[in-house]
Amino acid sequence: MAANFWASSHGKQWLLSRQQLQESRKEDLKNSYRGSEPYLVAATCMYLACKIEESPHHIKSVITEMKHVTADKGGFQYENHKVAEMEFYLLEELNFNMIVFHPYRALTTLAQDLGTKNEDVQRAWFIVNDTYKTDMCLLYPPYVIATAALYLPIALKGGDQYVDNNASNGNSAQGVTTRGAKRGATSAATNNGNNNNEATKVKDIRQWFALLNVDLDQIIDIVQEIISLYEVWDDYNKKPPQEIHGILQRLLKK
Amino acid sequence: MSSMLQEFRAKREAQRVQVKDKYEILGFISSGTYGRVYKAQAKQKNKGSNEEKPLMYAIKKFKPDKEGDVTTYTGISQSACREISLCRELSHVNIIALQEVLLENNSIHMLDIVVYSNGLQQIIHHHSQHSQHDRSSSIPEFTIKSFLWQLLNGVAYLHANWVLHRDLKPANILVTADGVVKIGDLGLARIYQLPLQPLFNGDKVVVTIWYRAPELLLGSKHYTKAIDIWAVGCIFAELLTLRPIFKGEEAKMDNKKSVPFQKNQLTKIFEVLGKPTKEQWFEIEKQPEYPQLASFRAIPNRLREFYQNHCSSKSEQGYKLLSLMLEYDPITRITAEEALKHPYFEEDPIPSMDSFDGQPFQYPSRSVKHDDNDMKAPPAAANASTATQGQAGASQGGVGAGRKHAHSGKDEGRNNKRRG
Repeated sequence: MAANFWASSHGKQWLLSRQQLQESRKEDLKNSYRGSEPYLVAATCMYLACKIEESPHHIKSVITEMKHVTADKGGFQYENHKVAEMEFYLLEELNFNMIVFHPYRALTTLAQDLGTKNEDVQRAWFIVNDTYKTDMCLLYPPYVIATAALYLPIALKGGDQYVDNNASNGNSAQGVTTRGAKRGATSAATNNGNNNNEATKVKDIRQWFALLNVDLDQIIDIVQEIISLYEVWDDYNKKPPQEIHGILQRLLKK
Repeated sequence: MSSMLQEFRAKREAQRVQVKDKYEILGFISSGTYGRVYKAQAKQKNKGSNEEKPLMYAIKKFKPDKEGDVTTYTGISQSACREISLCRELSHVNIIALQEVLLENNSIHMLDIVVYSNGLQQIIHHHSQHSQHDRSSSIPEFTIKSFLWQLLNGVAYLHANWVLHRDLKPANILVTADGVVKIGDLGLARIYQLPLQPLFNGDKVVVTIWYRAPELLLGSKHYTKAIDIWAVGCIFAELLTLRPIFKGEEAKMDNKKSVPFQKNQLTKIFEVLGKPTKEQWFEIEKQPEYPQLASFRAIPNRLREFYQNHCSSKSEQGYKLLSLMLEYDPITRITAEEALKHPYFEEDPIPSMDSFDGQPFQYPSRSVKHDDNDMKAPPAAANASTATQGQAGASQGGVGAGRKHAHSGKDEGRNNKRRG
């Protein structure tokens, strides 16, 4: 449950292998994409998710937002009761297993433990946001996604700011106490000048990762996938809009 | 566009299992703001079970959404959402187990199906009726201690999983025929680990008034799992005396904006525990309603007198445990985990998972109206039958009110409608 991911319905039901995912995608393809009324499903998911996360919004507000968001994309024509009806179908599809774990909580905890700089935590947070646009949340446990998201911004900068200058004394990685991200930031600034002060040190990133009890192969996979995602997005933005429009038109005709 | 939805709808409904295919409705048990509860029996024996008797279930039918005479969809209520989502995750011997959820009748009725059991409320009521003539008919200490231990065991599990129950009271605690306590009604329960906003923002009022902790009564917006322990303390006292320890009157909410100050309830608490001091409750001055306390006169703590004169147990450890659960300061109040290790549970009689083991009482089985087994009966009829039932649980103030207020502002429609 909330204290143990592996005992939760998320851990038991919503983690798939790539093969399982492909098979369920094939199932989906049998249904017409347009027939499943994606706008209605999206609105209903948002409405239900807010309730589950204890930040409920009235069904009317969700619909108003949907109308706003879809204004230049065909509009949103469903009324309250349609969303509420779809909610029942959604509940059934979810097998009434509604509580899911998100990488954010793990990210906060891990970032604190590492003594991560604030700007890096921020970047990692954005990366986690982006992973929701992919299949990753169905393939990997949330804490592994969080670890990969934390690794990326640090590694991209060469990890220089996360090298423990006292590493030679051998016990540093285990010996350093946990610090908040804020103190990590201060520490990074004073890292070179004042390294005999234990309390202003970040952990050595290599040692820290080596001591984590996570599957490093999974982290590599996730990092690879995030990088590919950004490449695709970059590519998409460089293509002339007419070309994209043409691709979408062809999809719609099928 | 909606023809596509119709197609999907038809396909879905064809796959749906009907309640009547799997369960036989035996009768009506009770009703509340959420809907009605029926007793039912499984038509097929569970696979792998060698038991002769078919399993009994309680089916909770959530009220359909009504606007005038037309049934419409307005979305599932926050409380149904909580109850179902948490029950799907929780798995513990002292927490009610959700068998399944079924959607029926054009997907308007949602049914929670749980193992059938008796209410702690009825057991207390049964003893209190007899004790008017005969003082020896109090609940045996072995049974009380077993109830309490199991209740704490369930609460400890909830808290370990970052779940607050927020509505513990005898009516929500069930006991199976084998004497196993099952904590039920998780309609106000929620996960409280790193909430996105203060708990107060979601639910202005939590916990039925008699079981509501002093920090809540003093307007605390960031409360903790200690509120559940206070309620357990109140239930412990109620098991020992057969009447609610702090039977105050709830000040009703006049407008939906502000939560009224519960002067009467605090008076009842102070009469037993004395007026709290800064020594007893370090952060009392930080409570939003603290200035209101000036109007109360200082009263000494009389819990020991109360325990000696009114409680059926003479155990000194029992008194100590009770006073630790009714500690004013939520920070120093005992936790469920600590309470389970309290010496009270190590002295005779030792608690058991069968709270009824060897005890002479025969409880009348929970009243079931057998002539009312039509699950499609209109809600108006449901309310009428509660009144004739005279169920002690239904008359207890607070829940309805709590639920109603709980959703004001985040209006989910049906929870805000007054019953009856």
